[in-house]
Amino acid sequence: MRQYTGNRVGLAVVGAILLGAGAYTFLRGTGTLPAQPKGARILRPGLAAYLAQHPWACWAAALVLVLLAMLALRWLLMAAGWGRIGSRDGTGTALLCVGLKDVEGVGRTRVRVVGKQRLRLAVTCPPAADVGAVAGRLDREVVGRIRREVGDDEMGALVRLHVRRSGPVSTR
Amino acid sequence: MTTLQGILPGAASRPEQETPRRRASRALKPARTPAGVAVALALTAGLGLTAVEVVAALMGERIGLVPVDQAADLAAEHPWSNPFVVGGALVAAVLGTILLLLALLPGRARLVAVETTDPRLVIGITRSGLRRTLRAVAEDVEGVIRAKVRLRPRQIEVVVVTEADRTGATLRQVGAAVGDRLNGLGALCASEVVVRLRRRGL
Repeated sequence: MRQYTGNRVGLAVVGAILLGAGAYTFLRGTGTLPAQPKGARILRPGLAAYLAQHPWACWAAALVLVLLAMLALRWLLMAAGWGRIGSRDGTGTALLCVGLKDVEGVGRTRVRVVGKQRLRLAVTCPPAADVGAVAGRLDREVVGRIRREVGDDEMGALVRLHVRRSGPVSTR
Repeated sequence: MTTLQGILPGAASRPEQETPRRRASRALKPARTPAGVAVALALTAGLGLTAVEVVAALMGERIGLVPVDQAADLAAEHPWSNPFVVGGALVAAVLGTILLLLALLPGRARLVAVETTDPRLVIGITRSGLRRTLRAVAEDVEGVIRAKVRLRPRQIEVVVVTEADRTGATLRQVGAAVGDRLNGLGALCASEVVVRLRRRGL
């Protein structure tokens, strides 16, 4: 089980393109590149005439832009959590509460199933709770039981343990 | 959802071969969500509006969302050596370097991994949660008025304020209590615990 890597791939691609384009433009502007005069115009004078003679090139560029925009939209949706957050599972949450019923003051518990392949659990304990015992119980019995009820034994599971500030118990 | 790492050869046997620390660090590595959302949003807006503008221009319409014509005119008039072009290139290169570093550096996980016996289970405790539970056990020691815990990369620093005269005994008791809680939890973080004592009023 590993963290979602789509953002890192996207950031690496965009970063490499920006770095490459920026470095090329800087070297071209300072006249460092051989056989490339720094006084030349950025767009060649004959480009407009070429595009007028070959309109398919503009349509091809528009198609590439549309495809790139769709790819970026997909990245945006994935980065915002689409398909990664999953849905709440009442049975799993009930089993989690039953498994931790001996721990006094356990507040917020939540079980989410992500694509029938992964479980995401969240447990909030009071400061006085023995979080080691909570983690041990989750490891030995509770998560396995939830897996069997919600999906299968091969499901990966990620548990987020949190210890809240001292104060009234919130049971959201 | 099928992922690339899930269908790669040997993916099924990988969990059993990994150490708990390695497994947890892979699962808890920061996903770079804020940066990813910001860049994806900028790209979607920029590319989408430009595509709409170009398609409209090809069909003989002018929408005016993106000044494509003005940009093309500016590029046709100005040379590569224009100071604004060179400055913009430097800004783009710096921005690209930052994005590359964000993508390549592992970053600090928001959760501290906890040791598990199940290879398909990863448990993480929030850094604030770990601080609170350690502070709670430190404050349970007799003579301790309050405690403060800092999680550093190589050590856990516990500063306790006490009224006790026998500070050596209190120091040992706090260290033992914090160590016991860390061992019981099985936190895969810095194992060195440093306890500092402060007298009340100092």
